Amino acid sequence: MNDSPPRFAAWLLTQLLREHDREVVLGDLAEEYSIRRRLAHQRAAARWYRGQVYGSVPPVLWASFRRGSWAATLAVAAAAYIVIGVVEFCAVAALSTFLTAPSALSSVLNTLVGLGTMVLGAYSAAAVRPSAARVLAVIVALVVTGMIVALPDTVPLWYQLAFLFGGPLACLAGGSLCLNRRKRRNPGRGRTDSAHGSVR
Amino acid sequence: MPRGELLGSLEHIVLLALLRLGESAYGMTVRREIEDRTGRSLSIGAVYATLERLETKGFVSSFTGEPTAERGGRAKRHFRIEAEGERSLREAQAAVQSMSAGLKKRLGTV
Repeated sequence: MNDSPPRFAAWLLTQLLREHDREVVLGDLAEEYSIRRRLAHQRAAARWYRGQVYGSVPPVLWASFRRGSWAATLAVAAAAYIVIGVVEFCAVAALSTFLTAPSALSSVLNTLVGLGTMVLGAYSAAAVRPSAARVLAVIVALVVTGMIVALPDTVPLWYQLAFLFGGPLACLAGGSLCLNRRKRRNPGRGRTDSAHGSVR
Repeated sequence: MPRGELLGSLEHIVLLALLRLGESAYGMTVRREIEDRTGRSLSIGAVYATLERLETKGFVSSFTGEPTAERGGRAKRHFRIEAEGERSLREAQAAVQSMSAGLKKRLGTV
């Protein structure tokens, strides 16, 4: 039986929290998760854990917004989004010279190019401002949702879902890669997203 | 009566939870105390976001404890209410009492 909390939920929360809060919040959840696992079924404990994580997303994002320096972070994320769009457009145009007729293969390649570009874009954005990758993930989620609502039947459902869920996750993964690399380079230095960055 | 910054409803409840819990107040105990007493389900993210606001206002302070095995080697962050927080809480309580005076019939047990 798996003793650890749901991995994806834990990973998602790790990406959203600033370093100052990460360990204590994950520790609090791990503590109560282990109590619930002892008292109830593991599945119920995992459901509780996921509920806590998904319920925490709006307040964590809002707290991040309130901390300020948001305009600069938003500008970096928006710039990254534009660059991603341009690079993706060029890459897809280059692909279309080899695959002239629309096919399942071209859709798969376009998806891979799109998601790969998002990972790189988020990596670059996080290098400029650590929280920009998270903002980029939100922008991607909003834009894809808007496109699905406005143009529901223009592309296959799997393609829409791949970008709806894969897009934000690709951005978070790119940001995570950048921050992990930075941490390996400077193991003694914590990331400071805000004025509250130091641990008391 | 002089008034400082107004407390939000969740801030009010979190401050009361800190008072009740005393030394054992940290994120998860605060969350559980509120859930047990009010029946209101609260995410840990909402609790920390509120505690962060209260800390910024100078109403609470925090310190990090030692890591423990039951938490996967992670530390707790303990919170305690400061004098400014207690003062603000007293003002908020007084305001609620003042506003509910004479409304006992309509509000029931308030």
